[in-house]
Amino acid sequence: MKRRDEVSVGIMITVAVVVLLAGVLWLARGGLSSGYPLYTRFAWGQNLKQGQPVLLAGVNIGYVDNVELRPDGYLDVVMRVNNQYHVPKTAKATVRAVGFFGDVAVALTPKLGANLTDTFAAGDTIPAGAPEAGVAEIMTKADSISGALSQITHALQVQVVDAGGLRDLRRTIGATTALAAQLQKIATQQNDNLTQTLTAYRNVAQSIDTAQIDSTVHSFRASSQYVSSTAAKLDTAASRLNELLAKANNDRGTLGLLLSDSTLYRNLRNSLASADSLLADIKAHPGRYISVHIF
Amino acid sequence: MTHFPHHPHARPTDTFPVVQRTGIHFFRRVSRGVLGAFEKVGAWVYFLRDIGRALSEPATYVPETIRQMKNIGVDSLPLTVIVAGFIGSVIALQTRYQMFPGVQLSLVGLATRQMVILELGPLLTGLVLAGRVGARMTAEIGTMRVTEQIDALETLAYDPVAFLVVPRLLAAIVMLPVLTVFANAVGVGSGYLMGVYATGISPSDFKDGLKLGFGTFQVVYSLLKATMFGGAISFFSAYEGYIAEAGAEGVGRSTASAVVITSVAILVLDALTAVLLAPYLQS
Repeated sequence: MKRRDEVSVGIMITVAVVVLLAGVLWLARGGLSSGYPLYTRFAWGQNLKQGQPVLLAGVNIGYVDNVELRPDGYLDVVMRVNNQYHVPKTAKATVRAVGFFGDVAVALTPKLGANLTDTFAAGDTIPAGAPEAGVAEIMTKADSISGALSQITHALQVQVVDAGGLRDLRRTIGATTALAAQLQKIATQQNDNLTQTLTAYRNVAQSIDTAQIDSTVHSFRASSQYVSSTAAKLDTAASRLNELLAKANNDRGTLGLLLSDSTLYRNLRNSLASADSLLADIKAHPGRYISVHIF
Repeated sequence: MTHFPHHPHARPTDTFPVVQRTGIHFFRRVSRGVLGAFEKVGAWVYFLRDIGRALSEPATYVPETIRQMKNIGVDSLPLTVIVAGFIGSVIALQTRYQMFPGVQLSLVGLATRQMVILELGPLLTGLVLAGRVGARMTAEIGTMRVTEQIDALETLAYDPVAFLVVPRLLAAIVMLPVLTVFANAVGVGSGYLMGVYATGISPSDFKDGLKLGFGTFQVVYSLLKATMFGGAISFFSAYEGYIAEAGAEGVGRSTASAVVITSVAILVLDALTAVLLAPYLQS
């Protein structure tokens, strides 16, 4: 009986120890697999601790095995990566917030499009990438935005509410409402006037004699045709006159020679000069030319 | 009319007007209660001294310790597992349905782990065992007291504390953490089953929550509390049995008193550990 008690107690304690170790290992490290080590280095203040996950392109591939605080402002981080995963050499390590509870993970992000087959070997150091904005930074931003909003609210309180701006605004809205009512009234009146005008126009339009308009248009069309034929005749006359003028300008014709040849002019001038001297001579010696014989 | 031989000029209480008489009775009761509390604390310290003295007799208590470990640990395992299983599943269910839209579902795993491991696993195990084991312990020792078996042991030059109290104390101190390990595992496991199969949380979400921000000290904290609860259960239960008054009524009164004192002690220790050690859980 006593031996049976010892066996049952022993079994229970052994199982408890196994459950305890397995549970803690699974929760802290993801299992018993040791994996291979990779190293990286971050600046202080990353909230990193042992057991936090290591993500490759968002997939959990290992855990943070150790974090050593260096005196020069950096943290040496030892990562333990499961053997079935390989990290491309283009990957950069950053600390990424996981959820809203302040927990972080080491995120390994390979460069897309680059050679993904060339991978880090055990013991290599992965370069750290530019840190991402964490919850603390986002909260700081949110805090500053909240502060700015508070200032704006305070300014609105002072300028709009306390200084009577809200009252003025209410008064302005009242005046605008009254103005809109007046405009509505005017629009109604103008609508009536427009209706009357359209009615008058419609009456005038109905009183017009369409037959008379038709004959007027017919007469206008005939006059237009007459004007067109007259213009055509004038055009013909103008062309004939142009031909005549062209002939006159031509030196070969009689009129052309009359207009352009200076010989006639000179002969005429000489003739006029001779006539002039003849007349002068006649005046001076009429007897020379005129002989009167009576009987 | 009462006379006070040491104070011949003292006026009997019954001769005072009713208002003063009531006040005198009240203060007398309070002072008696305070003195009784101090007397109890002093008696606990003496009992603790006796236990410390008895630890030097391993030949007396070691053989009995194994039997007590079986009584306290192995026999309490089914009850502990049932309680932890229901608690874990209810935590997962309640957390899932209290969450407002937009909250990550992994929170269910995180809440289940934190509540079970840090608080409810050790606490409920302690309270359940205070009823089951503590009452039994008080009744056993109390019966031995009223049937004068303890006096017989003393007559035989056997240290009754080494034979009756130390084995129960050691067994409880060892087996409470063991039971708490099972309670934690079953609680988290039942929370997982309830979360995944009853509320539609994906297994990966629940597992992510379980692993989120986990530190080994959380388990140490849980087991440390369980150890203290085990010590409190066995100490106060054994003490109440050890001082049981004659008769079945005396044993019954001691048993009830043991359950009450043990339960209060567990809650006080729980609060104390939270105040003292909870800040270290953040690291």
